[in-house]
Amino acid sequence: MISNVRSINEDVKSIPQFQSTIAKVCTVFTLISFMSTNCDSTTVLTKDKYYSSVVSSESEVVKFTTNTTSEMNVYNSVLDYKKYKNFGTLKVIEALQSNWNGYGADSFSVDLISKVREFVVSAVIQPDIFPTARDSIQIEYEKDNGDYLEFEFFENGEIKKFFYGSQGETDTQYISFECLNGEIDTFYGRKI
Amino acid sequence: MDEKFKDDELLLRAVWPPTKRPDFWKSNGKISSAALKVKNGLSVNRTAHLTLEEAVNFTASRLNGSIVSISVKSCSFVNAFVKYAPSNDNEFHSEIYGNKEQDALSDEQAFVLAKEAKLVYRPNAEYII
Repeated sequence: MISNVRSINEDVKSIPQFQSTIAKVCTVFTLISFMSTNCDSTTVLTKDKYYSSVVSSESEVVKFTTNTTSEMNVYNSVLDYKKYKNFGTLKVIEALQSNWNGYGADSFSVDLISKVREFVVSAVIQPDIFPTARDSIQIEYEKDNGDYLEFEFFENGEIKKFFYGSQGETDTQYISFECLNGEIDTFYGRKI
Repeated sequence: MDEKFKDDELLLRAVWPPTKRPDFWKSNGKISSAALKVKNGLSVNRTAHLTLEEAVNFTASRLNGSIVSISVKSCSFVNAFVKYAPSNDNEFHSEIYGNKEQDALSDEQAFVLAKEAKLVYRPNAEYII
């Protein structure tokens, strides 16, 4: 956005310069995007038919693609690596077929995936995400001192919280979606 | 085969390795308790009279993924119930329940057992133990 333009006349005079500047910025951006697309990464996280993610360890720019049968989407994000990693995990979980664990586990509904994705979008701190074989998706937080917090999202819409403290204390209860971030803040001792 | 389990007997469970998505492995190298959460009994293969290597070979021939071991002692520690449940094609098949009433493992039981579980086999690799 151009700033400090004080008069229409100055606006008229500055437009060609502005356009030139924008063109340069776009060129640079395009060039960076192109180079990022074609550069070898230092770390390949995973690469399979569901998705691939490439992380540049220097810039932490994450490029994430999801391959579907009919389209390819590309997401670019700076710094929010964990969130996009979790989007990828959910994409993989969504694609799981029956008996995905070799022991007869069922696949997951679109509604459940959407609910967990909604949480990922709004979570104050990104968790680790794992599927279970009892029609639920589990998200986890763990501190260095051993304190552990999990939320289990069930197909029936319920969300169960389980806390295991480093001293062996536990707490299990069903909670609402709206309370999740508050629980996370409490767990990490963050001021709301 | 004896229906009773000795404390030092191991129970083997196949878990997807971190190289295959989705994975159950946490950054500290332990499995998530999610890997042990099932609707009913947690299916495992007991080692019984086999050596660990023989039991791992048997399990790996039937299931994909890494293999973790859970000791019967750990199950006793969390008051889980281990039931010998052989099938026509698997004389070592057993199940871990949350109690003698054969409810599923609780969150706490799954959490503790996951912490105690040890990786004993990784595909395309030698035995870990």
